[in-house]
Amino acid sequence: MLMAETKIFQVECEQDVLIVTPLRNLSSLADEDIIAEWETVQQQLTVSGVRHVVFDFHNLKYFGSTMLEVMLLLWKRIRPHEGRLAVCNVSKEAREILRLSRFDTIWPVCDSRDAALGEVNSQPV
Amino acid sequence: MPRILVVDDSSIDRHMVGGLLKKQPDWQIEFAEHGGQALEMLAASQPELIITDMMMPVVDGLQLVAAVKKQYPLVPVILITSKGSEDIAVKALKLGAASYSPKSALAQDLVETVQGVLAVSSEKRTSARLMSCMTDAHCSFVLNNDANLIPALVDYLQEDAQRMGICDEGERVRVGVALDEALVNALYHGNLEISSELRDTDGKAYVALVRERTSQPPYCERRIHVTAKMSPTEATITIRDEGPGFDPSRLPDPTDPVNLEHLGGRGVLLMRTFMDNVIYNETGNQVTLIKRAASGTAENEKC
Repeated sequence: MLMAETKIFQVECEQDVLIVTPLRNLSSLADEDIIAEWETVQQQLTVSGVRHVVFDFHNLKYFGSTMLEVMLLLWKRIRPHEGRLAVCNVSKEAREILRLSRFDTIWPVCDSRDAALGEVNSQPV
Repeated sequence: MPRILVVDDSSIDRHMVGGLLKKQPDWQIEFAEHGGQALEMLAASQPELIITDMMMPVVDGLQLVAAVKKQYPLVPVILITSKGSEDIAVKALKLGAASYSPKSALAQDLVETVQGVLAVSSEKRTSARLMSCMTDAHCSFVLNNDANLIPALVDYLQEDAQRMGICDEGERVRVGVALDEALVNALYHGNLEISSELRDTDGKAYVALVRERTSQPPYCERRIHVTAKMSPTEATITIRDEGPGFDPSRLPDPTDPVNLEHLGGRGVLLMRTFMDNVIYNETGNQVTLIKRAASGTAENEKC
């Protein structure tokens, strides 16, 4: 189910998974447009039943540390409730950034959205 | 005489497209039966333009567009689209196709589309040749604390580095990430003196402080100074803020599992990884990023 169509983060819910699709790269979390949409994304976490998060990067060739921070902030929010985060559809460059920052050691990096959904739903926390 | 490669698995369609193009006496037409054969021909010599069908065995139109964009970025690709394949055409344009021509309107549109794409492509090739003659470029910018200018400046510098032959498409991405991190650091941590720790503990307070300092002296009076010097072998970009500086050696190692959950430090890690050299001045308010041309990259199309 599509929850909200926006300029920076497209947000969908599929059962207990919030799927976040960044539509463009972020330089900072202080930009007015980004703040508003970032609030919306965070509010979705409070929707009843949402437990896990999948980041789908099919629209982005690469991202920097601000996007990593966004993922980290969401992961910190869901982890106390036994939530999991997975990443999918990343480019070669984005995969390199996840590897360098070692986030690939804590978040599964999947080739497809289905695989990411399977990953967050199937594995015990 | 422009050479045009027509790629289609249907001999009837190849014949039809070839027939339309051959009416232009200056164009030399060649044919491939699928994307795989086209890539083999491209490895031997590159035409001025490729016209391709979408649905083909071995390597289809989308895969061909992606491969050509990556390996031969100056060779434009025009797609021939069928009714109902509009979504695929949009994907192909996103991947870098130059244009498309509906199969149902080839007789009316194709020659004009090819002429238009060839004209633009010719300008790009000439520009690339001219840039290969450039021996040195130097530019300077003084930015206020407007984050919206950062992507445009990064794009400009990436473009310069790529035109100079310092980086290919993959390295362009890495240079872009490094520059973006350095400029964002200069703005938020340097000029506005805002720590990423605050974002970690209280996101709303972080945003409020950014807003406040963007219009509050002395923070709002500070500028970001950027100088870029490009040669065919090296790009040197210096970014200086007017903040008090910091000690980069005291940054936590973000790859240490202990620090994995902290927000800060990753920007500098990406800068150090993606550039060949990253040097801070003693005060820590100026960083110099150096990218050297990969072996062979700067040797392309020498003047």
